[in-house]
Amino acid sequence: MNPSGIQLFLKQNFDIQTVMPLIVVAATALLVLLLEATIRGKSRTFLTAVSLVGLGVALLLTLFNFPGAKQSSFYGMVRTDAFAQFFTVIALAAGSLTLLLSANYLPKIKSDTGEFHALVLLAVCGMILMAIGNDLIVLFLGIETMSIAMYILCGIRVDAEKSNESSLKYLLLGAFASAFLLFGIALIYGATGTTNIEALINSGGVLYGISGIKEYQWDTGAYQFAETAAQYFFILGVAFVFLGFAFKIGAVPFHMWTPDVYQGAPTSVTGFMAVGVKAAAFAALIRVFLGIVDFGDLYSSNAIAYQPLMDLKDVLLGVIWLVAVLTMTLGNLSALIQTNLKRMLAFSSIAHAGYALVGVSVALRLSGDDRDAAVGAVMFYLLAYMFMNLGAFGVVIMMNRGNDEGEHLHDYNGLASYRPLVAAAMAVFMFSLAGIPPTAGFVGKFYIFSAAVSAGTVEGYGLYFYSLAIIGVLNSIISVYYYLYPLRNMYFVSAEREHKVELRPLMSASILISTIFVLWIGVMPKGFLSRALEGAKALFFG
Amino acid sequence: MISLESYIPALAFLAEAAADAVKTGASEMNFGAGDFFFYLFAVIAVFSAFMVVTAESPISSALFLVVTFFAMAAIYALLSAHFLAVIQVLVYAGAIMVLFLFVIMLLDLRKEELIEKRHWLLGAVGFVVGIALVVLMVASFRLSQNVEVAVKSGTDQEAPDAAKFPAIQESADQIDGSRIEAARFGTTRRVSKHLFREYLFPFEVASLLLLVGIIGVVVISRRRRRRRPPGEVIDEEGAS
Repeated sequence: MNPSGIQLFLKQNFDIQTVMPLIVVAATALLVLLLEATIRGKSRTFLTAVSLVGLGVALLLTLFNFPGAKQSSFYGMVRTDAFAQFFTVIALAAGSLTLLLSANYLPKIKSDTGEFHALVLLAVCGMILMAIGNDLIVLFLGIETMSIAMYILCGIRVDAEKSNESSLKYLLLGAFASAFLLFGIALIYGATGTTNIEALINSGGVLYGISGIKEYQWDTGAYQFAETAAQYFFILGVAFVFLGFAFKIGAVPFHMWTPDVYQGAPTSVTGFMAVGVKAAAFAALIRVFLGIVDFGDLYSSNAIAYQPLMDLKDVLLGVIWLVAVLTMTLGNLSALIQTNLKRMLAFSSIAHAGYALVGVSVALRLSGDDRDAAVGAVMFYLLAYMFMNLGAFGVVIMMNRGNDEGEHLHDYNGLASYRPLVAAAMAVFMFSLAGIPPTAGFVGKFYIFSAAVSAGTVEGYGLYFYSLAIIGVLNSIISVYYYLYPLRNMYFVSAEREHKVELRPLMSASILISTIFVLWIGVMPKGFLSRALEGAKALFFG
Repeated sequence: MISLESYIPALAFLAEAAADAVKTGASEMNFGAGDFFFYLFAVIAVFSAFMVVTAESPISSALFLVVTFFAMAAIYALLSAHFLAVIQVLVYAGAIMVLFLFVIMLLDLRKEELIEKRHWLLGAVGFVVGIALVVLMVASFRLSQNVEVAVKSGTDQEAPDAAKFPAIQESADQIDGSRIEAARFGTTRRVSKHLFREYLFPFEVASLLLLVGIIGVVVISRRRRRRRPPGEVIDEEGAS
């Protein structure tokens, strides 16, 4: 091998640059742990600053120094395309906003430890892995890194019973879901001989250990069955992997853990879970499912034997359709009757996962530019959702007065009269979550539902997708009631007594940033959307 | 649509495979030493696994699990996966079992707590799922046989369309290669070659995952200063 050959080999397989943001975040986590151990007694604000610098550097690297459009490295284990870049940015931004929100909140709930910062950073590492992972093994490791960090973050208030309950519930159910995911990955590997997503897509998704013997003794019945047997493994594997992802995004019927876990966890962690974990899980879900269940006409010459495989896409489409409808409807109806704002936001986050699933279901049916538009709509929606939801949780944190006080809806009575700016920010977030212009939430919903309508024009799928769009819009109308309820309390009900709401600098900065982005995305969505579309285009190896 | 009908050929095939096995077993006794040891350890593994779930005392369950692990390790060794066999003994039969025994000891379960009634429906569902998995298992066994046949008769088959399946040829080569070197594929050298090349990245990421676990244990189990109301002086060790 000549020198340039070695260089090429290293460049292709051990290119550190492709994982640079990940390394920076992981190194910052280690640094924070060391600083926590060595400089005791000092303010934790210092640790927040160090963590934020690390995340900021990683963000700059991701935005301005991300490797080429379709580069894969480490023997195809990671893939740093525009899609990965988009979700890496979401993960880093969610981590930064969470740390900003936590800086003044942690001392209030008496769990001000340095490990909190390190765990948030490591959870961000897991999310980045899920964004850049191009192999089911890497995706699984990323999911586990993120999840285990989240289990601990939920229970970081060791003295609070609710926090313990939240952590334990999440751990037990999450471990169960991870087992399903891993079993599904094993089955897919068994059927195809690979865990690499790119290889799965390029080989038509299936059975490339088997397709080689497609012509062999085709006339005998026994072999005919044996040849098609692997497709059942593949189908079962796909089902199990979907189940694992459905748990992570909190889709009905795997949503039961969400309210209790979200309510019991520290509020800043709840916000982080609702946006970061969901976005990362959607990234992995989109990367895995949109490619590997699409076989085109690969098996049409032998359509009878491969019928189950050919139907897989339609079956999956139907399942996601149903899950999306149930998730939206159940989330919204349950949120209607909540009196605790944090719990209400938990149910609302279930509903928002449903809206995003609408986009995924649409993208499964479409192809070409239409599919890119649908995937881009989901990505855009997740970005918008991050800012509006973290902002809303920020206001909840600001209203917190130690323990769990300040989360009830009547605590917001008359807020506008003594804290007009906080009330205004909350109004922006609630309008955005409900999907009212000119906010980010409106634009996001608009793109998703218009994608659904455009899929309805596909021959034979009209009823399918028009009804999906209509159900989605009806759900948005229902949600307006419970999103505007806190606003009614803030503006039209007079306060019995004024609560002390402290405007601490870091927390206010986080809410301010969220407000600016919610309005910015809402008024000028073009730049953000084009980045999302770029990511969607990069996804399909074309 | 995937329907129940798709499973009917699977069931038919299962019956056929069973009949096949009986026929070949009767006609040609082609039974080497390797086969003998395989069946020996397989029977031990299945039997002790059965005992793990049915044994009444948790301790004997755990000890039967050790036996299962050892039998599995022996089967790995027979498949020339030496490295895996050693790891199986070290990690599972060693470390993990000690952990299990500690947990059982610390929990100190009473006999009446162990006996619980389960709904019959749960059993029925378990039975159906079990049957489905057996069908899958036999099908996969048949499948692997099929690949073997195909590779042996390598020249007969039509070359796959490389443009359509870029990965197929590569994979067929892989199967070929791995059969030639089958005896060596599970050695420490082979495993480490894969681990530090193709799987280098996941390998490193796993260390990150373990780090999160360690931090978690420290955070959750660290002793907190407890503030007791004045006047209440209870020494926890003394009281118990």
